[in-house]
Amino acid sequence: MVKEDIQQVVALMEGLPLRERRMVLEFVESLATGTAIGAREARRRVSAWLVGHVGHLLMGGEPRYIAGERPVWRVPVRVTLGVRGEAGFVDVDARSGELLVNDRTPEEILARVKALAGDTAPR
Amino acid sequence: MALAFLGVRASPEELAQLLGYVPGAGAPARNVLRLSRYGVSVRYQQDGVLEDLEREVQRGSVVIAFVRTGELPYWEEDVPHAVVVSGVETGVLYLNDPSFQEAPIPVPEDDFILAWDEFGCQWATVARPQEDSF
Repeated sequence: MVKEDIQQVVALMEGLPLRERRMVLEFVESLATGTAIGAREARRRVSAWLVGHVGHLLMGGEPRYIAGERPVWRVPVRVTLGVRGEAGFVDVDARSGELLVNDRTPEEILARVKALAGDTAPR
Repeated sequence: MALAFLGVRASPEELAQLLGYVPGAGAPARNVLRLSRYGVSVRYQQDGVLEDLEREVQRGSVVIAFVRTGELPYWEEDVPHAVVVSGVETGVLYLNDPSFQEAPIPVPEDDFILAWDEFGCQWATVARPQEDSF
């Protein structure tokens, strides 16, 4: 791509609202990695699921790409209040974007959060 | 903050138990629906758009948005958080943030959208029953 082409692309991008600009970047990233969704989108999906279904003080960390028969984005669960750290991870199917969670996953994450805080007493 | 605005009195301990609060993790955003036990109307949705928030603010509902603070210019930390949207104007939203005394705090629309989008644009409204006209 020549310099003029890049400048045109940049100009086009600057004319887009932020959310759409992010979607374009996400699409380019997925093309570059050969996956259906990129790392940012994987983190976003995990963060949305954590906040909605597990706890509003949890969020996804930096995803790591795990190659294999079923490639996944492995997104760490960030604990952001009190004792900070990671409480396990959530995998996202890199081809379909599906979150690989089940009914027990929220409880498993919460158990890790409690263990991280040194509080394993039942409530 | 939302309940106090509507004149509902509840202790932090009572609220924590009702919402299923776990130290370090917080409570699932969807559990905000349990606040209806106090006789208020509660709605919780995902994939919202700014027009939703604007409409509900104009109706007088308390509008709660779940956001990533790293995208908000007045925050220095990058954590998940819940704020009350108290006003929406062209290009600017006004937030009542329980972590700050200043209120309301004006935030550029683009920054708010990035912060809100990070958690799937989840939002909730709490209103007196007669105000709930979803």
